[in-house]
Amino acid sequence: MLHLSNLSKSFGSNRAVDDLHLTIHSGEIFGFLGPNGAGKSTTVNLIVGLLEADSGAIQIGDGGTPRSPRVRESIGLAPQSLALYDSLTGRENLEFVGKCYRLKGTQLAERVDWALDFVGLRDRQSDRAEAYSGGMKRRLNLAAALLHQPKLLLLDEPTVGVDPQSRNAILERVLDLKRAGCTVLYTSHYMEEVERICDRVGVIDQGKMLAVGTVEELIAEHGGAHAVIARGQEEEHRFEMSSPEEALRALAEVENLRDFHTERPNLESVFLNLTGRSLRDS
Amino acid sequence: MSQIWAIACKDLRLIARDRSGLFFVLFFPIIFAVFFGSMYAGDDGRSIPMAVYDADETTVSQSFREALTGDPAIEVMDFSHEEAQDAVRAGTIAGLIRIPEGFGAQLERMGRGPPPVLSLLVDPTRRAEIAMLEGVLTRDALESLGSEQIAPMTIEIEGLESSSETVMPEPFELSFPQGIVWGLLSVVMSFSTSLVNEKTTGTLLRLRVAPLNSGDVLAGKAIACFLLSLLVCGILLAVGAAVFGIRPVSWPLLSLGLLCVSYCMTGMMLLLATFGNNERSSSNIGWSIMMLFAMLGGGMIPLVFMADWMVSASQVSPIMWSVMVVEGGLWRGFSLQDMIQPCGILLACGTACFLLGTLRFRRSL
Repeated sequence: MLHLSNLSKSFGSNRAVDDLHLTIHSGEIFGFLGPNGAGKSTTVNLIVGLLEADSGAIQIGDGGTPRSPRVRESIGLAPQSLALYDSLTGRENLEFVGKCYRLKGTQLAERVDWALDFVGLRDRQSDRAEAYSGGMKRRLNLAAALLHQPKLLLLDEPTVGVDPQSRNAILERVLDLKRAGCTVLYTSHYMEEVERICDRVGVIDQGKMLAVGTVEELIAEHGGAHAVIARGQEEEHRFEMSSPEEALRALAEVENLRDFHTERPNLESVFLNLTGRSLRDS
Repeated sequence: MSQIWAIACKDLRLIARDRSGLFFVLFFPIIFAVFFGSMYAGDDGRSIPMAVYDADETTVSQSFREALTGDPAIEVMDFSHEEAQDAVRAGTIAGLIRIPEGFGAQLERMGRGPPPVLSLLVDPTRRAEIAMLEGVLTRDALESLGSEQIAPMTIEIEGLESSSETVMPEPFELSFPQGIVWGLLSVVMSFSTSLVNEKTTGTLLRLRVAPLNSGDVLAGKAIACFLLSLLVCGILLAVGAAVFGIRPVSWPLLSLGLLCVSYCMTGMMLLLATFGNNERSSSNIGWSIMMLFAMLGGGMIPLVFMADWMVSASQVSPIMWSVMVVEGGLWRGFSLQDMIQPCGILLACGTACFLLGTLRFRRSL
């Protein structure tokens, strides 16, 4: 569905995307992870045609550049910033977006109804967006990206600042979209979300793709060993090991063992192992 | 086209729901027009540049002309009769003093027959200066005879003549063109900041990833701005007609003028929208530029109170040309030929701003 080859983009001396290769298959949810300034947003902007690559190629579906109207009609973007008109009602927001994608008449009304039902906002469709909660705005933002039935959906931090109920609803809707055959590029800093819904995950840093695979593959390859954390009388011990026997032997050597627990590697440890533990404020 | 229309309708809807914005677009210009209309009705004036046409050509009339030329209260301009009429119509001079045949003889017989008659063709916007002129003319007439005796003299004041009737506008007809221009300034600023707002809130991003190009986005905004400008003009004229009895001399020419002004303002909106990185800075920059144009173009202080160099400089202000074309159709009695120059300037200004704005907008993406 989406194929990036040798994609590069620089801003002055800063190489934001560096020879990026990536293939996302039809109907999969691909998690796109990286620290701040890693090149995620630049990559997304290249995919939707907001930026032009210095070199490399982007192929979406059957071909065509992201700047061509036909390709754009096959892409949906839910940006991180809530791209909504506060003075318009939820329905008016969606009707306007639909018209921008050349929907009209009965088809427009049906698609708006579907999108409102899909994100659970039908009963609030006549309220202005400014009266919506943060979670409702996020859901409306998602609905606006889905109106024209895109084949490729890009979700940029779609659950930032929402309550657990709205977050759960959004994740469920994304899984529904996958079941309906939609391809999703999912950008997030919430590892548990990515673990929950993504078929494959890519970790990017300094413009380079560091690793790509299923969550299990990444954990096995980059997550590090299981750990046992034991608390003795005075101090805490951390043992990283590859087998239960090793763990038992290590626990037996702890003086005055009070309690212990195990830590298994997860996507967060993969992320930190690949991108380091230093702060990224840029 | 349907996408462009969708953007235009969305913008009009957003403006309609912005109550404070609506106040400045619709009600503030009415307050402005009423305020200045009341001021014109009650002011006591001053004057200055005049042309003199001597149809009498007697020694007395020539002495009178010399007295006028030497009077510091009047600047006698060197115009032919036709040129002077055009200059009054265009507002370049305050009026034309016509010395009719027989004026010299009547002046010499003063007190022993009908009083001498002078006729004054005046620019009604300079009503303040006319009252003072009457006294100056009487004084100079007596001076030309070497007399200090006070004697009556009849001064017939004429308004501008259109093809169909003589026009002497009411005070509110003088102030409503300025009110209309102020309404349009508010429209311009509302739309220019709305484009910046779309950038900062992210809605422009949604438009840019849709199958639209930047020209479609700008065209949608421009159509909305143009339509709202015409609506504001219509509402102000309707209020003027219903409440203050304003009756345009020429509806077709007034309509032509309003179309040109709205076009120019729309182009300026697109250019102003490219300045500033956020709503506040865009608004500050936009209002500063427009206020400067308004001040320079007589939108705040009448041109008559300005120094000559400022009056000359006012020609760079679209506001000056805007007021002129609205007055031209409303009460000045401009012909189509009279409208060509100011309308052409407004169209050229609008087109230049439109092109420059589009270029800057595309570069900013």
